[in-house]
Amino acid sequence: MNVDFAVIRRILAGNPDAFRVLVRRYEGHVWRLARAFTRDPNDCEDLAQDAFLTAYLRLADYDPGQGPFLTWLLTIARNKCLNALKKRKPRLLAELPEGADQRTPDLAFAEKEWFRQLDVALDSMPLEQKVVFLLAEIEELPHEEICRIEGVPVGTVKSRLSRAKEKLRSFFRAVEQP
Amino acid sequence: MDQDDRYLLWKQRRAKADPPADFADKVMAAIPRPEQSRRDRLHFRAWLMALLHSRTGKIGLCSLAVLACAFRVLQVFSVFIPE
Repeated sequence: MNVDFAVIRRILAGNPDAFRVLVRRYEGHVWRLARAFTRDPNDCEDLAQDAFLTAYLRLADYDPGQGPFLTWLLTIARNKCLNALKKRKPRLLAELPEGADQRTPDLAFAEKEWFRQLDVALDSMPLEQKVVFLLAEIEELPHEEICRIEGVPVGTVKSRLSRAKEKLRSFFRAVEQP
Repeated sequence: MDQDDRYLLWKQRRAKADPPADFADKVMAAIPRPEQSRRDRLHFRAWLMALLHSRTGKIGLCSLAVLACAFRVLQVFSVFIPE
């Protein structure tokens, strides 16, 4: 966090090139969050870029006392993605699958195909569950940080995560018992 | 490999989903530079000065001010007009 703040101070002092350090450090996190909202790589890139651009323009508003820079950045990214989804709902949602593929896999199910099925199961979750699952399980953020990003109480985060996990468990059960 | 292992592998694979290599370059190209914003401010100031010092600009601004004033006066008098 202090390392980030030192970089932010350099940027605010008039060195915009220092922002590259933050972009390189957190681009993966923002990218993966944007991927939860759209499967189109071009849309994903636009959303992630827009989030970084907004963060750069509002950098003076960042208060390190309120939490890590990553939490602040992911909050911006999440809001950007939600706004884009509201504006372009038909297009973005059209990219998402209708639901998990119900075809029964056999035991010689290729690992790649298994991963693909799991991706589909994740994509078919309601957005709020998917985002919380992604932040908690893939990005491994503490629940308190997810609360700040999502703007909901810890209980809501926990229940969304538990519902998301239950959906994946039912996917496992479906694979186990063809 | 059991399901837990495969699940962990899947999570690791998802966690490694990274943006294209030139992503940071694109972001850096999109951010406004101080020089550029200063130039924009200077352009705006130059445009404003040109507007204020031109005859057409002065007439336009005065007309707008008269219209705004008239609108406000009408608004005030409309209070006394019975519906």
